[in-house]
Amino acid sequence: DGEMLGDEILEGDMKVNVKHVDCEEDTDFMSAFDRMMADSLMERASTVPRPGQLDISVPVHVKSTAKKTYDQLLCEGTEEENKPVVNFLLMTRSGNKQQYNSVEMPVDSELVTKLRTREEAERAE
Amino acid sequence: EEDEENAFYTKELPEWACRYCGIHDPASAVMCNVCHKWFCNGRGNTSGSHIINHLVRAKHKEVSLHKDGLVRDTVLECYACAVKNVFVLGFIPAKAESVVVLLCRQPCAAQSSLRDMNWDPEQWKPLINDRALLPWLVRVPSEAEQLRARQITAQQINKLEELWKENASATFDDLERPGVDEEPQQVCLRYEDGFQYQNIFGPLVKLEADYDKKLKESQTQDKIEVRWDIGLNKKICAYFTLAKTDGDMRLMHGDELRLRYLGDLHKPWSGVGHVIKIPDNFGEEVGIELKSNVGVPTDCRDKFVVDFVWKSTSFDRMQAALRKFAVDDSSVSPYIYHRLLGHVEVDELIFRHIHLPKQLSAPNLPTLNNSQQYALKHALQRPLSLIQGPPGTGKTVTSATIVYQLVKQTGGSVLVCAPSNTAVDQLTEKIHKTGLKVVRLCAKSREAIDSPVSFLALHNQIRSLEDNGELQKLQQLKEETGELSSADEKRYRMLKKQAEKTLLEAADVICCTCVGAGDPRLARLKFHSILIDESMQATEPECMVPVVLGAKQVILVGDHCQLGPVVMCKKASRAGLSQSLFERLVVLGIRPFRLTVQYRMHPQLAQFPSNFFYEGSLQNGVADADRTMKGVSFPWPQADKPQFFYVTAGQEEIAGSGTSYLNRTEASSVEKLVTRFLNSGVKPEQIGVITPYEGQRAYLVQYMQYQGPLNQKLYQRLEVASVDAFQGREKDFIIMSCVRSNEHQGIGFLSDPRRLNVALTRARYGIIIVGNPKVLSKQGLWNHLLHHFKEKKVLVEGPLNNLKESMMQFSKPKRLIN
Ligand SMILES: [Zn+2]
Ligand SMILES: [Zn+2]
Ligand SMILES: [Zn+2]
Repeated sequence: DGEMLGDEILEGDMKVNVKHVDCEEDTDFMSAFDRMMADSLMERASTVPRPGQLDISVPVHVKSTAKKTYDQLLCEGTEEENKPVVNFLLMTRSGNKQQYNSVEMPVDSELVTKLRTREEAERAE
Repeated sequence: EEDEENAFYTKELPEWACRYCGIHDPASAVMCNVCHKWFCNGRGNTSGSHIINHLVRAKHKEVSLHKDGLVRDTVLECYACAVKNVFVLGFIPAKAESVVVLLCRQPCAAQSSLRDMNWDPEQWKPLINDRALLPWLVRVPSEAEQLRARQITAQQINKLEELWKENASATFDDLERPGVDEEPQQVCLRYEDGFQYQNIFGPLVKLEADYDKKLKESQTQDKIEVRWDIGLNKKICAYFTLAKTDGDMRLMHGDELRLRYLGDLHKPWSGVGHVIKIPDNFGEEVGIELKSNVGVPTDCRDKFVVDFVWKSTSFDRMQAALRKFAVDDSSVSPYIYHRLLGHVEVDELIFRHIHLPKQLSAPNLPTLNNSQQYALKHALQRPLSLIQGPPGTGKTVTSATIVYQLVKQTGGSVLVCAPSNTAVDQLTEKIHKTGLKVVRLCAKSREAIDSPVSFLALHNQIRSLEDNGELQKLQQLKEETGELSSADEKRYRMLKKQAEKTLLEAADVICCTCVGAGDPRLARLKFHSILIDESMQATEPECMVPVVLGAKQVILVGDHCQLGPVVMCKKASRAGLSQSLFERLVVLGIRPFRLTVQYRMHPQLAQFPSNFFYEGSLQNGVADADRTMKGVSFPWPQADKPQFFYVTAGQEEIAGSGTSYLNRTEASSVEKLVTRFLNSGVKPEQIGVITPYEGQRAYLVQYMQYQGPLNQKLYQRLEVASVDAFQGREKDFIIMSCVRSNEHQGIGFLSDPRRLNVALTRARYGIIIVGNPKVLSKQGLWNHLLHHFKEKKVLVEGPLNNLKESMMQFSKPKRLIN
């Protein structure tokens, strides 16, 4: 029935949204957003990467620190809900400067789930 | 508590405080690289986080994070190619290490070589999910923090963004200054007199004009490369590609662009031209035909700038019509004057002297059915009538027959208008068939554009005038040499004017757009009978342009159950400019005469629209067999019902990848359906793909041409357009992609019943709707539609060659209040 349906859609995707107010300006924003997203992707559709550009390797010093097991990476979150998180390293670049930042991935994110299943599979072997 | 709240506002906030709501936790702060303003990653009461709200509304695309944030002091950019557009950025994880890297979706994350380098590109996820930045990148402020911050609304955000365009340092407090908020006066149902009418509509037309002007003039683009060509009429044409703008502005044939040369290979030059080609399925190039061939730097290719030239003509004509209606008592008959103003004390008038012929048809046009004949009689006998033509009910034939009979009855000339050039051309073609003398008056800027009725255009009829050797000689000379001596030019203009006058005066019927009726060449003429087709798509002032040319008899043809006029300025639209004259007259109690037999849709397709938009009054003029295409084998789930709802609740959405606003799942379903149609012998021209959002349209075009298994050219010939672009037209098969919505939005665009009506009534042989029923079923009318499909056992899912009835449950339909 209708009640159940609402719950299903909200499931797993709930964000803090104090109290959403439906209005024309907001609806317009949403379609403008869709358009911006589509146009941005379209603009890139014909871009070809320069040879060598895609040579992205994880530096050795990063490799050694990043190679930890799920259990080692798991820790308590800093957010108020105290949901456990998993530490990952984010590689970014600002201009020519490479940066490595530790980031906290939610324990229920797809990324983390995949990491865990992979480890389990490896252990089973 | 109130003090605490005030303290929050008055305290000096750091520079990284959100310019909307004031939240200033560095972990939640993002800076726009274009305007250097900071915003937070909370959504308050809107559907996107504040930074995303800003980026979208200001059309900015690049951001940086705070030095004390979750990820320190970073300009977000692709690790490989350094692109900074945050709308294409995402991340992928390494296969063996707990490392992720920022990569753009195209082309970097799409490279298969990544896999060999131990990355997992399959897991690419965008940085923007559900219209907010990922929470591990930029913290989402807690509910408590958001409740304590300034509760800015989407309207206020909009206004603030508008203010920033004029004053970059404006703050929230400036919103409350007088002047910003002033709303124009609302339109009325009835008006005291023509002055009150003008006083209300004049400012609304002005608002719309200002909006249009601002929009056009802000569109200058530089670094344009030009390809030169010579048109058939020896005029120089320039072709170039414009960067994709925000899409708010659609370039149209006949628009004016100014091209300027900024390089140093030639002396400074600028020239104005009319648009003769716009981007389409075949190419993104824009083409203009220059007004003058003199001094054009055709040996230069790059360093050009393109400006959009705003023309006030159409708005000036509406204002002039409003003024004329107010002050000139010969502009319309007293009866029409009072009826249009809604004066109820005026009794309905019937022309008793009209002698109705037995044969109520027109030569070379199909004989009219009963409802069409009634409509015709009704219109001929009355000074003001409304004819409602639901989809496929022969509106154009009926209008053409009415025009034919009017000419026969009155002997005078009839003015025929419609808001769009396409609609005018369609009607012109039909009226010409009856043998009447028709002149199609085009705007000067559109003379170069070809149409099926070009030979009826005034400027072309002048060329073929037999007894005017001198004019033709001068014309030829002008075309060959490009320029005439000033004496010759003067003589040429005089002769041309005379010839135009002769042709216009001799015509039985003059056809033009509503705004075209304000052409100075018609100013001296009087028209007693005026027919306006598709009149629900014109604003009231637009309708008034032809009406004030002396109307004693006005026939408005249209359908207020289909889409209304496009008004771009929100303020003007809110004040009622988007309500058509047709609609207001219906509300005033003038009963529209409805055409009731539809000849377009397979009877199964007509059922729902008939019941929900026309009180079940539509009858079918075609049988199932007439609308079953022989030799085409398509896997309709019910062989005798060529329609289905294709349920797409794809894996993607469950995985929450966040990219479904583009709706790749729907695009791929649409591609498969199209391919299946093409493989079964349907021609691309017979298929129309409808989507309510421009974003999805562009994506679909691209997707099909790159991903479809058949020749790219085939997909190019297929029409993919918005619902609005399909109004007034038909296709044999329609596929509609609804585009998924989520919990932060209603279904917006699709919830307008008039738009749904138009979408459902374009197909002749079959229709397929691709969408997510769960979301759509929350809206009343869609809920009914889904139940209708379910009852017919055509709500289906699964692969195309094995469609199965979907068992999805949704709430019972509520009774609709119309
Ligand atoms: Zn904010
Ligand atoms: Zn900005
Ligand atoms: Zn890239």
